[in-house]
Amino acid sequence: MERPIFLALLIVALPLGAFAIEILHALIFRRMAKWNDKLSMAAMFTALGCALYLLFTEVLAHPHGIEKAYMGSVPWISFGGDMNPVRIDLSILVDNMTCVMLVVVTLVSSLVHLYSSSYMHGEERYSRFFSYLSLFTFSMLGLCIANNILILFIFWELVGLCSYFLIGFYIEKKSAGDASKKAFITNRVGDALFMTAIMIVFSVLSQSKGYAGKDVLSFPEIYRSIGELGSNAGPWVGNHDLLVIAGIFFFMGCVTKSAQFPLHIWLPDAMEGPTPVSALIHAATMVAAGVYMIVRMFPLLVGEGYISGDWFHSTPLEVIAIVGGFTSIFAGTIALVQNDLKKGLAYSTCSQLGYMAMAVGVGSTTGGMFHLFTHAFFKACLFLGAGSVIHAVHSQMMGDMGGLRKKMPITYWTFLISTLAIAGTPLFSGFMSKEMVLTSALAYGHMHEGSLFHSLPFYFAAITAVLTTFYMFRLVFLTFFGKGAWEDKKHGAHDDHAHAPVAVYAAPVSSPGHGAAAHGAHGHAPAAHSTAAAHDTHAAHDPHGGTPAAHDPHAAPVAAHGDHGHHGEPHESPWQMALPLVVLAVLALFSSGIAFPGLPGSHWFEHRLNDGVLVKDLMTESSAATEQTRQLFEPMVVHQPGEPLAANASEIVAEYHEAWSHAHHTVFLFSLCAVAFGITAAAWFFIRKRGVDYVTGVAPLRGLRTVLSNLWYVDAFFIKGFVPLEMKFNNLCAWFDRTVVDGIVNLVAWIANKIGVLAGLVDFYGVDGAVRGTGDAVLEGGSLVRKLVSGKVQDYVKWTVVGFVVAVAAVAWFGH
Amino acid sequence: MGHIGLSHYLVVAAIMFALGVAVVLTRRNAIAVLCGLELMLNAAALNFVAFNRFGSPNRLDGQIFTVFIMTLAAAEAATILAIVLNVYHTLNTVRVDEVDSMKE
Repeated sequence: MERPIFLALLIVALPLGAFAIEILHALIFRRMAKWNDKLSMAAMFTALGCALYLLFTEVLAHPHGIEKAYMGSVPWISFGGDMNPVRIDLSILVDNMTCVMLVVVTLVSSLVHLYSSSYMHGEERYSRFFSYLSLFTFSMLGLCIANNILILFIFWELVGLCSYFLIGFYIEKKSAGDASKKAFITNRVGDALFMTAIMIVFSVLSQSKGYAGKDVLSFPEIYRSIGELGSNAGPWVGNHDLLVIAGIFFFMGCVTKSAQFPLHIWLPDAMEGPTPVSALIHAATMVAAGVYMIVRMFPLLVGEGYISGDWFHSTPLEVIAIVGGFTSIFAGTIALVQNDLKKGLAYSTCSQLGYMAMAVGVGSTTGGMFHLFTHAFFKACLFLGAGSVIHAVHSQMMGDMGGLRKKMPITYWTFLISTLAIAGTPLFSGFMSKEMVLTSALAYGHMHEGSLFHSLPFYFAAITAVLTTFYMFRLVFLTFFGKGAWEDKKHGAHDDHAHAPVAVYAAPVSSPGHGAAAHGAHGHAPAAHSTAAAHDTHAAHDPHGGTPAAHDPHAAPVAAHGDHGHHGEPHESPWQMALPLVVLAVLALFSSGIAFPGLPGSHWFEHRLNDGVLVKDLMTESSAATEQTRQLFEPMVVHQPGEPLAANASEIVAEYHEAWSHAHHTVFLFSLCAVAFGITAAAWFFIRKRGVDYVTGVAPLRGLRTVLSNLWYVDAFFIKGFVPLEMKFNNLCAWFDRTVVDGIVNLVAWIANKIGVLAGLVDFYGVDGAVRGTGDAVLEGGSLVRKLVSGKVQDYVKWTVVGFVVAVAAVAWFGH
Repeated sequence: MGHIGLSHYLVVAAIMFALGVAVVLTRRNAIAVLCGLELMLNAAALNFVAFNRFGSPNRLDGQIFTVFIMTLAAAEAATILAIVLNVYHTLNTVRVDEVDSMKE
């Protein structure tokens, strides 16, 4: 076994081993072990070591990382006999993308483990929490090393399951249970379509001649089929519609998993889970799995233009670009008015995931993966920072925060660095990735001569860039600047109501007409709960609330504060929580080198995970590589900006290269302006005019905020519109079932009954009659014959004589 | 009447046989039935001798058969008498119309 394969397996096996030991211990001794946290942590940090070793020796050590992907496989399922052999292997793929994903997952996971050991300390089910984390990490790592879309799907479901467990971790809270169910059920939609897409690929490939006995669901085989399509051969010829449908269905898997509009609704609710979980699963890793998946399936999404480098005229990609772009701006606007720190971050995550999907849609898998990579670190840092703040003030509402800059310096600085990174400030990692996403979106518009439809992704993304800076700094300023509510608390002594979430800055001051709706943002108006989804947004869960009351969704905001109101000033978190913050903040700064074009290390990612390298080797290797096919792929490898274009690059690649160079400068200037404008605006509203609701002064904005507070009515649409509609449909189905289906059944039964009666008659008189008649006849004949058998010798003789006479008479009569 | 021929013998034998059958069918006493049986056997034996005499006078087949029949008749009479004795011991009767245990 090659070393990278072995290491990858080891990395995956470690958390699985930890989970297995923990669960076995629990099964044998009927309780969770006390050392679960230590075991899980040890496994995770070992895995992190292996992943880093893999990254440094295989990826970073060479200018283009792993040139030829490592693959290993074990036969798993085979059926179909000799006639139509089909095979599915347990196969592993280790290429640059895998290595990067392994590092992201193990790094964030191990830091979250460390963080949780303090954050979740004293929690009931503390040990179980670590088992869940181990299981999740195993599943996520398995997803990353899978070389087979079916195995990827299995792990995809596993991470969904772990997500369900962890969102509903506070089982005492109804809202947590509801949120976990919402997440799980929403994900079913995409998973069903994802599976359908797999079936389409399977049925098309397995029925094709050249794929008999091959592992048709493995990436190399899928890529090969697309490669053949480029020269108008292979299984997809004549199945173009299926290819498009499969592509869109794969993306639907991504829509739910990566929270794209309109099925993003589960992600904000998922914030009911513990904050470390939000950081690990719902920010850094699992939600990015959708993007990872569409990047892996990218050739299939592009279809026939893949070989020639025409990645810009494919239906699935157009859908992805527009949905991703819309998600980013849509979630970005909602994030503007969130008063719950975690919810604000959740919508921000949603928005950034939209960026990633859009990047893939506009033909830049590099951009999508790059943003996934940098986003994982700074968003995990933001969530863990938010957890640290929540830990300190025992509330998720920003109304309870403020002025924490001095009290929690480490949290403040790391949060600020991450905010600068997500805003795309130069020298911070987010700058490189965001710029790449924006550039590819603009270049995409250029490729279509600036047609409005194809320029929309860029406009969406550009506006979102400004919004992101604005709302992220809003969070920073409201949390860490100004005068904190906890200071009032200190003076206001034992008045519990003083720190019930009174969000002065956003209190709807004006007309009562929309007052109730605006209250929805706070989630305290009972009516708002029914509209804005079934989540009790601000049942500010308290990780240290030992009393059952603290977990009661209705009592929480007051009761939790009542319990903890006397702790005094917020203070910096212990080192287990501070260290992950620092590490992640450093990564938010340096994960993409010194983040400015041309500076050392700033292009490492693009060189190793560029669009061509991703699949080039896989495809050529399995398609009986000839020098010719290899040359076909060359254009993709070199079309990255900053590198000279190969002489044999195809026309469209050259055109794209041109478009990219033009877009590059525009975007560069634009990002600088967006950041500057966003920070200034946020500072103006939330530092200079703190305490003043920033929209009350502008009438049109009030209405807009009502809309935003109600999450653009998407949740309401599902709850008010979709669910009743579905209920009606269900009732209709029930009615149909009762009357028509049952009617038919009853009719059939009635007819059957009548036929039965008729058959009974026939049976009784016909069949039975025949049987009985035969019996009777035999009986009668028997008794007749019995009379002959008198037992008297003379009777026998008599009949003998009679017979003899008859015989003689017959002979005499007929004999002549 | 002239020469006595084959048909005379056959007629006599037929009459004897018919008398035998009549005796067998009509008499109730087992011994009488046995007598009727002997009559029928003798009718048959007479036929054998007559056919031998008029059919193939140079051969003795018919006469040999008659000797066999006489032997058979003796054996049969012995067997039947033994049966009749046993029937009498068991059922206390020798009337054939009262013996119907063969029915079972």
